[in-house]
Amino acid sequence: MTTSVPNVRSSRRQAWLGPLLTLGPGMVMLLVLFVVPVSLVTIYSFLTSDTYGGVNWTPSLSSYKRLIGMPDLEELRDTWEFTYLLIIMKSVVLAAFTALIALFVGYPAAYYIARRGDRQKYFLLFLVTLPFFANALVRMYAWILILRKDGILNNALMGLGIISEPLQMIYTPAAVAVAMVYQYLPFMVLPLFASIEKLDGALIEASFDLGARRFTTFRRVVLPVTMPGVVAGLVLVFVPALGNFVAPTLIGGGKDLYLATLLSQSFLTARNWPFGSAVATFLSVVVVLALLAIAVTDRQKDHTGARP
Amino acid sequence: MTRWAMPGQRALQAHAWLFFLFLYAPIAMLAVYSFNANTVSMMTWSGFTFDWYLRVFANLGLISSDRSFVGTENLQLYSDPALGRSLKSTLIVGFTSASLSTLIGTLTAIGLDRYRFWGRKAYYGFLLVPIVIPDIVLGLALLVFLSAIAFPLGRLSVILSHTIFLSSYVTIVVGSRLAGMDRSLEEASADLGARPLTTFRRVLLPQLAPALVGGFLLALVISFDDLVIAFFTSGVGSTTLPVFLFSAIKRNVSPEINAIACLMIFVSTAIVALALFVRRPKSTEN
Repeated sequence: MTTSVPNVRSSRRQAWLGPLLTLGPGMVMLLVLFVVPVSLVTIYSFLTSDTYGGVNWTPSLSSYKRLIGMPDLEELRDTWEFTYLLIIMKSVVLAAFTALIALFVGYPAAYYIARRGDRQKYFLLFLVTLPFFANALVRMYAWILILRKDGILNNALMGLGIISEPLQMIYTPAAVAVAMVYQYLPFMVLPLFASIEKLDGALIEASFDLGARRFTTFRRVVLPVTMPGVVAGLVLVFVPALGNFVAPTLIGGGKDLYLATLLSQSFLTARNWPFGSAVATFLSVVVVLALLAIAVTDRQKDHTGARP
Repeated sequence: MTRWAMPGQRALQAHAWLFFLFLYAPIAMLAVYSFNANTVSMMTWSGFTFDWYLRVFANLGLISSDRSFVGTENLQLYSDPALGRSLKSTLIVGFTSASLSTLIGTLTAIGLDRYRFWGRKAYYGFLLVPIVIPDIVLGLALLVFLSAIAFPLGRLSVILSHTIFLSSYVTIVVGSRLAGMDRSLEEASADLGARPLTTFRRVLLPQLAPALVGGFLLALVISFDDLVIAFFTSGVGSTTLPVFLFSAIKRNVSPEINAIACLMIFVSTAIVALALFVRRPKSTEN
C-alpha cells in the first residue's frame, strides 16, 4: 500500500529544493546581471577617469563636483561652472512640462472613458493602450515626418495659406515635449482611469445639491478624490520622460543635450565613464524618489480612509 | 445617465474625439505615406505605389530584385545588407530572450506564490526595479559590466540584457494568474499520490498555459520594441532592427523607412492581438 505522505527525510530535502529550483535562477540572474552592474556604475561614479578612457581606482568626488559645477582643484577648475547643472534643470523642466501637458490632455479623456458604459469603457481603454505596443522608435519617427520643415504639418499650414514660410518646429524643446506626451499618454490615462472609475457619483450629486457650481465641485470633490491617480500619472510620465534618449536625439536634433543624451555622450564619445556613472546614479536616485511619491500618496489615501 | 455626468458632457466628448485623433493620426499618416509614389518630396502626395514595400522585400531577398522600382536613384536602404542582418538578429534575440525569460520569470512567479520566506514582498518589489529604472541606465550599466569582465558584445550580450527585464514582466503576468487560481486541484493531485513533478506537469502547467503564452508574447513584443538597451549592448555585426533603423533615421528619413516602420507596427500589433486572444477569459470560467 503506497501512501501519499512522504517520509521525513525527503520532505526536509524538498523544503529547500523547491525554493532553490524556482527562485534560484531568477535570483542568480538578477544578482549577476543587475545588482553587480548597477553597483559597478555607482562605484565608478566615485572614481576618476584616466587619459585613456579607463578609470583610476582612487576614490574621489570629482564627478559629482563636476555635475553640480563646484570648483574642483583636481580638475584645475577654480570657479563655479553650471553647464551640467543647466542640462539637469532643463531636463527636469522638460520632463515636468511633458507630464503636465499629458495631465491636461489625459484627464478629460480619462474622465470621459471612465464614465461610459461597461462595454464601451474597456474598449476605449484598449484603444488608448494599443498604440503603446507599436514600436516606440516608429512612433517617434512619425513625429519627425509631422514636424519637419517639409513635414506634413508645415505642408498643411502652407497649403491652407496660414503661413508662407515653413515653421521651425523640429529640433525645438517644444517638439521634444509633444513627441514625449504622445509616447507616454497611456501611462497618464491608465492610473487616472483607475481612480476616476472608483469615484462615487453620489459625492458629486451631493455637492450639486448643496449648491456648489461645476468648477467648485471639480476642485473640491472630484480632484481630491482622484488625486492618487493624478500623482501616479504625473510620476509615470515624468520618470520615463526624464530618461528618454530617443526623443532628444531624433526630435531634438541631438545637439541640445538632455540627461540621457549627456549620459550616452559621456560614455560613448567623451569616454569619461566616472562622470557618465555619476549622471546615471543621479538619474536613478531621482527616479526612485519620484516613484516613492506614488507609494506615499497611496498610503495617505489609506490613512484618511473616510473617502469611498 | 445621472445628473453629475451631464455638465460639460458635450465638451468632454469633443475632447475625447480629439484625443483619439491625436493618438491614431500619426500612425495613420505613416501608413498612408508609405504608399506615396513621390520620390522627391516624401510628404507630398503624388500617387499610390507598393514599391517601397517591394524594395524592402527585395532587399531581404524575399522577391527578385531584377525589376526596377520607383526612385531607384534613392538607394539608402535598398541595397543595404545590414537590414536583413539586423532583422535576423532581432528575431534571434527576441525569441531566445522571450523563451529564457518565460522560463525564469515563471519559475520565480511559482516560487513567490508557493513559498513564504522573509523579505518575500520586498523581493517582489525589487523585481520591478529593472522595469522602472530608465532603460538608458540599465543599458549603460550592462555595458560597463560587460566590458569590465571583457564579455564580447554580440547577440548573446543583447539576449542576456533583454532577459533581465523581460523576466520581471513574465513574473507579473504569470504571478497574477497564479494569484487567481484554485489550489484545490493541486491538493487533489497530491492526495491521489502524484509526485510534485507530476502535479506540476499534469495539473499546474495546463492551468498556467494561457499566462505562459501571454507572458512569452508580451516579452517578445517588448524585446522587439527595445532600442536603447540593444543600442548599448550590441556589437557591430549584431545590431537589432530598431538599432539599425535608429541609425538610418539619424542619417535621413526615407519612404523605405516608412514601409519598414509600418511592417513593424503590423507585426507588434499582431503579436499583441494574439496575446489578448490567448489570455481572453473563457466564458465557462467564473
